[in-house]
Amino acid sequence: MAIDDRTSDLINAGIDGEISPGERIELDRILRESAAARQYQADLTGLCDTLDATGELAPPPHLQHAILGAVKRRKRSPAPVSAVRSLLGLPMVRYAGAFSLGIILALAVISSDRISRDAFDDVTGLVGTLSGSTTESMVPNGRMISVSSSEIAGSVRLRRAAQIVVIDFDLVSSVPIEIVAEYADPEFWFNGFAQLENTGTRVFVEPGKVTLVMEGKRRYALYLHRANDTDATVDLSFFASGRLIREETLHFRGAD
Amino acid sequence: MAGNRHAFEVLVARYQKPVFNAAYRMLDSAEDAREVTQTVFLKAFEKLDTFDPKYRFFSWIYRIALNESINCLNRQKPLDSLDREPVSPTGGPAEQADDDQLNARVQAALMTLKPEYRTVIILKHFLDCSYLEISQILDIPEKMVKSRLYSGRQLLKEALVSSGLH
Repeated sequence: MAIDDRTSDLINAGIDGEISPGERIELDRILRESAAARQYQADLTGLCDTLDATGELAPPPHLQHAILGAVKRRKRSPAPVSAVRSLLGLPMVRYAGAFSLGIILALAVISSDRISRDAFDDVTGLVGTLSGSTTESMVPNGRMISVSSSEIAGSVRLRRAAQIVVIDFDLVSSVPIEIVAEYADPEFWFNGFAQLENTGTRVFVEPGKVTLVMEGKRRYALYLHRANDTDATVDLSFFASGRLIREETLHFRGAD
Repeated sequence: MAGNRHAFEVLVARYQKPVFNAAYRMLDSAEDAREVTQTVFLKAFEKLDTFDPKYRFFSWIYRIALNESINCLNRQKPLDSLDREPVSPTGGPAEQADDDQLNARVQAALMTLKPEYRTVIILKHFLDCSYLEISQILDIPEKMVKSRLYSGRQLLKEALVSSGLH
């Protein structure tokens, strides 16, 4: 249908309620006289109704918590790592240092009665800093899963810092949840664990499997050593009252 | 306000949803939208001292959100567009399937628009801004807002017709 630009503009503005009284009179006259204009208005109204019906999207349930946490961390001064970095200057020593420090810091966090967000961030940040890369490489497929159900919500992210694979859990649960992370590839092995909150969590480690039992709002980091760059998977199973409620797989892609 | 943590928490609670929605509609990725939303509020917190109270707060934060989203778009590699997690609108299970299909088609059509058209469509239809507010947020004349909005709608309609929705 052919309508001129003036008519199109008036119809658009009329639908948006952004039209003056004089323009409204002009538009009403055009609509009385032109079937093409009436059709254009009907089509445009249908489009706008479709867009309005699309609805708002719900942000991840833990997003506000993550934002406020990031703001708090930004207010603090960063811990000096330059002295440590200079001591671990050689690549081989850097890796060994990262491996050892990852274990030491992770165990220190677990054994401490006062687990702070600083400790959590220092461990995860330090692993990245000392492992020889200035940026962590993200694995594209399966690098993060989002969980959203009546029992549990949040995200689980897999990222790599050189030869340490970090699985970050950021979850909120309304009931006790058991999370089983299984990695059948023998080139994966447990390297450490860090948690933000100091209560309400149990961790069980056995060859090829780590089990977390949690309830409430919790953040964890699970460290796995990865000796080579071949692709592998970490299978996650979520249980509530012994009932399997979710299964997911995180993919490690060594080439990325 | 810079030191007022409680006030900032109120702002986050009030604006995280529209900021997340704006970012998601621009980026078509829930993960990218989450990261952009976090960045937006971090920047807002750091720059609160520079906020000019003659403007409305939402205009300011929406501008940061759209700029960050465009920055994110510019940083993305082409293959990243294949790695998208679908996000469903809020609603009960009975409505979920229909909502998902509508949302997916509308979102796919949105992504066919150039960013300059997409931003105006998002501000008008998803954030319910007036022409004047859009003009202030994007710092463009109102005449240009209308031009981009009306042309964007036409392009969107063509994309939806192609997908069988209209």
